[in-house]
Amino acid sequence: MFVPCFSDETWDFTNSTLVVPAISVGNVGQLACDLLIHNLNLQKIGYFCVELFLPLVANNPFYTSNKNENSLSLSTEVYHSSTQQITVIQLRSPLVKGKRQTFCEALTQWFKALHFKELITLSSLHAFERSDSQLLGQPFRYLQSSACDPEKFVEFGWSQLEQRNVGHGDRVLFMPGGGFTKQLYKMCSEENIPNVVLLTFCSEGDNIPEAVTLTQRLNQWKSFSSKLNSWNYPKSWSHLFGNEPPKEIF
Amino acid sequence: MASFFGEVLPVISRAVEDEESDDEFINPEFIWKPSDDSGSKQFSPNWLVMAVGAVPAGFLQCHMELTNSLGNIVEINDSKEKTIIGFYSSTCGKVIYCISSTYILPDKLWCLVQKVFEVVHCGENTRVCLLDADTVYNYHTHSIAKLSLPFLRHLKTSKHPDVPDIDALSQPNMAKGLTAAVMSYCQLNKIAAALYICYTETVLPDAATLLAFSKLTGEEPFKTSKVPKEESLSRIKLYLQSPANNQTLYI
Repeated sequence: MFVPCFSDETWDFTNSTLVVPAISVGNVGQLACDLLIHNLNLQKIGYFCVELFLPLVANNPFYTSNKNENSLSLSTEVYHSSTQQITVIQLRSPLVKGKRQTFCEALTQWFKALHFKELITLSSLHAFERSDSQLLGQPFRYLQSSACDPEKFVEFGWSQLEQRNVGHGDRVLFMPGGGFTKQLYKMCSEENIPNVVLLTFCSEGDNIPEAVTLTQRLNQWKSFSSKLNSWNYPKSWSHLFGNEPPKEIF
Repeated sequence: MASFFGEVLPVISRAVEDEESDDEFINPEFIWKPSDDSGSKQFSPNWLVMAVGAVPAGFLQCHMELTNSLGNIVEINDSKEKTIIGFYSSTCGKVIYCISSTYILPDKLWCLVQKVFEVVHCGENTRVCLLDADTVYNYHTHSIAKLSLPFLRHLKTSKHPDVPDIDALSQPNMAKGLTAAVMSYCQLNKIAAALYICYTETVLPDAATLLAFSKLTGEEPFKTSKVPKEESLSRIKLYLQSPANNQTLYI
């Protein structure tokens, strides 16, 4: 499950907030986690369920100098700050087919075993699936499991994700494009784990603005840093849309 | 919602009925087929060299002595066997070379890596060397026009010593596939491993790309089992003349 970078190090996650991105439309959650890790200067402490994700390796995506440039990064990594009480699991590749349930179970077990304070899922949903009422206003929504304080977000004026009417008066959660968000949310509700889902409606494309919005909303709630009025982008975000056209062609 | 046939369905629309259902995991069956009667014997070499793809496979076949075949890992699919990785040992017996030129579905890679390390035991002193290739069109940089092709880049696990002569693979470039799976396994299990990626102009090997890895032939483990230069040049000629590696449209 969790493999530490250095086997002699131990970590106390009690009262730490665990943040997980959903692998969802536009990779908004993953981009938001990149912003958190880079701007809060979180320390890499290990790997989480690497064998459940498609393999991928690269050098340090958050390097700031030549010193820390060449350290190997894998598909899933855990970043932590004990002073800011935050732990982020960054997921960089899709889940292996059929492993979604296994991942959600492993995550909830790890959450309970290490006594994290709460689980925050950063996610996104297909913008084209919005109902008429959702077309108006902000695309940002939240969800919280039954173990959370229901009054928590009243002061921020955030909108909760509306349930869909499926006929006969039945209403269900409808989360197309959200990856494992719904499954993890349901599992947390059943296991009495406080899970808050922050999500936005979006379409595939340049999803940096949505990622910044999601991170700002999270920071508005958790106040990780008051200095974070503008978010710096990690160097791994260069060439998100390929190389620039060579000048020689003009 | 009324569907095409008029019945009333308890869903909003057929198009959005499926909220990304998770497909069932299919456990692939990989088995070890030894060339002799060694059965399930586990090898414990000093070096494990793995070449993935046509260019690295061509490099090993042209520059190294790969006469001693140890066996293959094959995939059983609908009672049909398909060779996935061929295993060879060096004349000194301290190096095991693995060659894989077959495309493997990414979902099956972890099972394959597990099988490789069941066949080859990597202890504290074992070093793993991985060779991979990709086209330069997948390489991200600000100054692509200044690069002379083909070129090598490397990645290494934290246990591996520094590689001074070859540049590191810079962000945002990454490696995927079988070599990434092996590198991940090595990083998690504290095994010293280095991955060398050759960026080429073409997908299939040509004379220049087959020589790109020759930077490594002066280093361990290649320098002890490399063939003489004249021999490797004639092997390159023969290799490129074979129809499978010929790049004309009119074969």
